Amino acid sequence: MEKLALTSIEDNLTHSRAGAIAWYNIPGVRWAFRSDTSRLQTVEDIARRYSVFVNERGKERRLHLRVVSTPWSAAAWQTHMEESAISPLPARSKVLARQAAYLSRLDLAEKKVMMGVEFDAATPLLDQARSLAQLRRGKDKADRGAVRRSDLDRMMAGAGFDAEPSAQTDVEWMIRRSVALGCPPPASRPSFRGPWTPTDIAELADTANWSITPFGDCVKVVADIGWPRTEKVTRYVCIRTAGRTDELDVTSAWLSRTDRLEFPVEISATIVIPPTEVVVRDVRGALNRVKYQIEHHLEHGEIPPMSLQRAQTRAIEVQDEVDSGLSGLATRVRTWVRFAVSGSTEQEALDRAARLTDLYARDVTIAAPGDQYNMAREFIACEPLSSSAYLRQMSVEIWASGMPHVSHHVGHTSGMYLGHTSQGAARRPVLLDAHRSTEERERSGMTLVGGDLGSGKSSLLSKILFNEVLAGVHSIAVDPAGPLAELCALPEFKGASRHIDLLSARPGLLNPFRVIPTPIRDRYETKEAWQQAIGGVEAQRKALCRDILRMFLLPQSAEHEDTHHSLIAATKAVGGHSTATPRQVIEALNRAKGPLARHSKMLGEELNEIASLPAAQLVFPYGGAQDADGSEDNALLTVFTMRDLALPPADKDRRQWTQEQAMSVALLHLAGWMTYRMVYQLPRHLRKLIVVDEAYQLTRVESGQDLLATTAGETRKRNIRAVFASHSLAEMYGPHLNNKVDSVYVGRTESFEAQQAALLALGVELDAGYESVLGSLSAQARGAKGRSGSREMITSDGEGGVERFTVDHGDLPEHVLKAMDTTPDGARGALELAS
Amino acid sequence: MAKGRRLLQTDDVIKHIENTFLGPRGFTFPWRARMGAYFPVGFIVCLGVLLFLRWLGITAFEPFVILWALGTWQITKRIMRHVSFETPVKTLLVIFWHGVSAPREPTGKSGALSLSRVRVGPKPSRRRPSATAAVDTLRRSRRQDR
Repeated sequence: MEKLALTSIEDNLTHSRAGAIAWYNIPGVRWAFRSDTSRLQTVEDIARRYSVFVNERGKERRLHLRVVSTPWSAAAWQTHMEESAISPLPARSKVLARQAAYLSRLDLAEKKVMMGVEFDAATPLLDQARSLAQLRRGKDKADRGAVRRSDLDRMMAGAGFDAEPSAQTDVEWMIRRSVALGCPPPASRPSFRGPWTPTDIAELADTANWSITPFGDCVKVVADIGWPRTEKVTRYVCIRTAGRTDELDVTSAWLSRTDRLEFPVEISATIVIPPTEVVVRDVRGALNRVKYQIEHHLEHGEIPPMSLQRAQTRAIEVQDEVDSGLSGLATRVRTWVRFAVSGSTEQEALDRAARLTDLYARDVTIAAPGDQYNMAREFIACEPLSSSAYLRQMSVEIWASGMPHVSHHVGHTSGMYLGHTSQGAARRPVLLDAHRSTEERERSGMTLVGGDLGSGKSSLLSKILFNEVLAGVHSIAVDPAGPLAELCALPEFKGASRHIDLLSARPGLLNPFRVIPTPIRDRYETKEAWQQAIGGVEAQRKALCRDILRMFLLPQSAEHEDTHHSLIAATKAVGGHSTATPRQVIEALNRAKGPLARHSKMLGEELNEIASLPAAQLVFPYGGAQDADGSEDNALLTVFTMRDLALPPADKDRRQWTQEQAMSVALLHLAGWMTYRMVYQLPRHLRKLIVVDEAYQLTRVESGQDLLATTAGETRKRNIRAVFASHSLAEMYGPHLNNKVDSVYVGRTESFEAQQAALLALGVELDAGYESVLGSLSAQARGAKGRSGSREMITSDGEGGVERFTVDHGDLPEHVLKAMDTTPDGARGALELAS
Repeated sequence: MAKGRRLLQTDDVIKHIENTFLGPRGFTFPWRARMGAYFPVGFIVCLGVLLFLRWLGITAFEPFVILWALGTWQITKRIMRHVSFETPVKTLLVIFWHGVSAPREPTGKSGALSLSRVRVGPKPSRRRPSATAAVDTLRRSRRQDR
């Protein structure tokens, strides 16, 4: 049996005869959608953090970097989802099981980056000797050369690394995964949220047989995986090492490039930070050698090779950097970087290694070392460096720019599955916990969804709605076009959903005085505060009524200078009570006296004409106060649609709207307020969801902006997730929503103005070149046949993560997908017509 | 996004200096060989070939010198193919030894790497309750009684 150097694991320490290594977890850093300046700042922070390890007492410091691929557990996700739902629908368990089965097939993974620092691990005996020395020689001399763990913790926790000591289970997990290097994780997978439990650890192999043919290309690893039932797994592991390196872009995160590959790549690097005097001595030695070689060539009448002159120039530069560098950025590091790829056959492992070589072909030579076995052993903590071959020396800034901990993580750690990040092997699930921001983070629950036609907005809304209703969340959707209404017919929602087509709804449903709810006394501490709120609501109702009536008017009447005053006078006469109706306002206009009488009467006549139209009965009911408002029916899912009314295009001027278009905008506004009213009447702590499609129409008038701002402001207090979708966020994301948006999803966007608005909403710096990325989302190959398939989006999760991801509906049942599908199908249309 | 990329160079240019020996002063060899081809590789191979020839019983006469020179040249050339600034001679020897001594699958020594002997968690305490500790506890309880 081969002997390991590792003797014990204790807390975050791994011990061997040579000393101890303290392990730290390095958290992921967002890299996508950041400006070069911001990335450079991060690299410099990390470089400075490395430079803290320079030992001025002439001793080199050794660090170990380990990138481990960890699986994401669909089974644990399912358990968590089942436990976290408060009153789910009965059909949910079956759907969740299906989703978990689908997710487990996706092989979603996460990478864990750990940094080990070698330190002078004092044995108890040595500790005692030190204590004695402290007494005899004073404290300063006693701790010479000895870096204590608390010092290490402080050094690793600083800006740049922000690392925390690893849990013992983390270290054990890393070591067991290294012993079974290249082998897949156990089938049942460990906990998806960590920390690892003893059962998770037990599932990993603690013994593996490693063998290699003489000077072979791959190490054969045979391990028993799983617990209590084990399975023998064989993998061929191919080790590659970073060789000669060309110029590297500081913001390229070159060590994270392996994330693009669709198979996992494990990384192990030994980093030595030599003291400054050693670097100076080395550079001087190199300069002397170059000088001797140049002289030797000249002595023989030969022209010295250009490489010698380049080396001389570079050595002088390095000497200058080290001599004059005031900041830590002048520090040099020596590293040995190893990559491990595996395959179920030797050929597969070699093919993957070739893919890795191609990936780095631009700037790093990936070498195939002869010492495969011992280099593979370097992946196990405490194992010595196999040899000094393939040593790389570079400035700490280049090494820091490797950024192995670049994270593509976006979304929440639990919640409904929306899709996965678009990167290769490190495909992470993108989850949405719709009520985390309001219940845990005490933030707004406002979500904006943007994107051109066919960018996947509607299907994303459907998916959110479907999952939330299944989880028992009271949901109300306003969807002018109507596809969301298909969800009401799903068997899962039988008896728990209702679809209200506004054009055939009961008269008075959208009475502007009714749709804004009256403040409930219990929700205010004092009577004064309540009365003040009532006053505010009455003013809001009057303003909404004026806006709605103006929408119904012809443009020339709406824009007349007296119209505003006439409407103010009429609404004032009627008052803002919930029993009022717009017909009373028309009557007040007809009764008007004074200088505005003529204009008011003219407006009254015009509005009277409109109020007699059948579709207008929703807004202009007869009988006022007793009209039904439709909110008494407490269904879990309510979808409002306006299928037969066409909304005006975004770029169409208000003056060019047809009467039907004007009416549809007015109805959409009122439906928005109606939704708010229904949500307001539900208990404050109850989880609620509002979904509004084509929401940009709301921002065209003041009361619509007011609705958006009010809803956004109320989401936190009333535990609401409000999702507002629009083809362009340019109209929506304005001052009224500043600091009130939690998360944003943006699909393919081609107009430059919309791209800039989307970036602004996503919190991405403008003019940094990311506008074009929005235009390239969900790109379909020219000449590609069939439907374009899954859509890509960029999301900002409200917790600092911004990432491109693929919206994935593969987890949903077939009949749900059919209901969500908004793409026209000619054959289906013909069948419907025939029937 | 890359607007003005900032490129940095590693120290590979400095490390990648190949010391060549063109010949003694005043005489230039017609070939260019790396310093390592003379010493240590060439020198050691030269001795090795000499010993090998002696072992074969080929002693000092004309073909011996030719064989010695040809053998040294060919072997040195082959070895030097693997010697580079990435893998110096000393490292190459280590790699060679590792290649020879690594565990083999069918017949060789077992290559099992096991964590079964690795202790996980704090070291179990070996201290046992001593007689003096028991006496101290008794004294303390008596003092409290008084």
